[in-house]
Amino acid sequence: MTRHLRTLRRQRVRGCRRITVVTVGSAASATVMAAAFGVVLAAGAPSSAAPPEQNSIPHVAAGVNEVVKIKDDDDEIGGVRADEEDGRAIPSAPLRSEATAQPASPPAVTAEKPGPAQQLQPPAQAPRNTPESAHAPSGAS
Amino acid sequence: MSTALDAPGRLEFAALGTTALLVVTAPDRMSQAEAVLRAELAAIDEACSRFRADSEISRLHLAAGRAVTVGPLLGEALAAAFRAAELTGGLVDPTVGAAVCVLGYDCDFAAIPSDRPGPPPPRPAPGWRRLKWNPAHPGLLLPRGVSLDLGAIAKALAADRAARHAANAAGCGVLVGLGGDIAMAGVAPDGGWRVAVADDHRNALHQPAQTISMSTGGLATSSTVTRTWLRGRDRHHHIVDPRTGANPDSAWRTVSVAAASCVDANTASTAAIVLGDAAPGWLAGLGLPARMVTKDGQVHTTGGWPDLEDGG
Repeated sequence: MTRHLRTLRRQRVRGCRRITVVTVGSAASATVMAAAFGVVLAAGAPSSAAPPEQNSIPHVAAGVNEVVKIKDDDDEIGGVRADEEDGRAIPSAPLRSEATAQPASPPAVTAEKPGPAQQLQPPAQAPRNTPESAHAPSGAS
Repeated sequence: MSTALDAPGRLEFAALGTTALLVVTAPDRMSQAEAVLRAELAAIDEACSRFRADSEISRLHLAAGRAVTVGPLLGEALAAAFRAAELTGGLVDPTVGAAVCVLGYDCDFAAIPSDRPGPPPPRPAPGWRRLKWNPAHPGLLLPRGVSLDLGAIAKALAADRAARHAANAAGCGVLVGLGGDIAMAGVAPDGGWRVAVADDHRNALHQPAQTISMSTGGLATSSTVTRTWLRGRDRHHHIVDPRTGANPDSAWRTVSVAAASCVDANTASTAAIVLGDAAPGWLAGLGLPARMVTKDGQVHTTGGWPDLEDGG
């Protein structure tokens, strides 16, 4: 009995240590992310600030602009790691519940609908049949 | 409000691996509208094409594992893709890039070889929630090994942007069609824009299953019977269920949806194919007019889409 209690106590202490490690790890990751995007923001140079190119559509410019490497651990976010042979993602651990690999239910068939800006919007007027010849074709490509 | 369209200006040319169509209510302003459309297509191709090594999204893939800023247009496309993923519960997910490649769509569609062996077993898409996205800047951290496919949403976004900007530049009504996905802006012609609907947009004008009129917004069609290719013994298509990484065994071969924008229409039509039997209820709940065709050709409509026998 005493031995059993001692074992349970040891397990509890180990559990507390793990929680501490995980908490500190998460906080560190969050700090690193915040710092990274802070650098992104500080670095500025958003493309919209750049002078518009000739013949370009407004707000179309610039490109991927590498800012900072977060850390190597981010190569393995949520249990997905790179397959070095073909570069495809391999789920290497149980996927988190919010991941789309296992969606819980059909989309948006719930009582709580998102607000107007948060859902797919119907047209101002529903389509009508017309007997006249068409201006344009619609169909898959 | 509408305007007469006796002889619409009409222009068709190849773009984005398909056909671009421009129709304007004022034919004398076609050149302004055309310039806007061509610039928009070039910009979206440069930002979002996964088949160009020099595109921004290709460089984003090379920068995987690092936080990067993205240009405004790629940022807009990513935001549209994430919104689509959120509003469809992940049935339309931009992280299906690797799954689409595994199925064989790993190069420009016209260049897909037909003599390759069958694909390896499919794997679920990693899921858009694994990406770290800062919409305000915008910035993205793409985990290494995750591949994005913005193809359909980028095409719809290009149609919306081109129609809107061309209507502003030309000062008239504009319809833009990209491979059958349509966006309308400006003042529509009398009776609205008349659109022939079919499984395949290439047959629609000659053999329309139905001709409808719309004044504004967007119209998109997703189908499992177009843009298909043979790999091994099986025929594959470009719509992937992110939950499995495979083509969905859908109840529908074709779904057309009308919405306030081409992006929303495209999002809903793609999700409906993946969703299958539950799609009519979902679309009706959102008030989205839709036309769904079963594998054996039966047509179902929902959300105010006119039945074929309804008067014009």
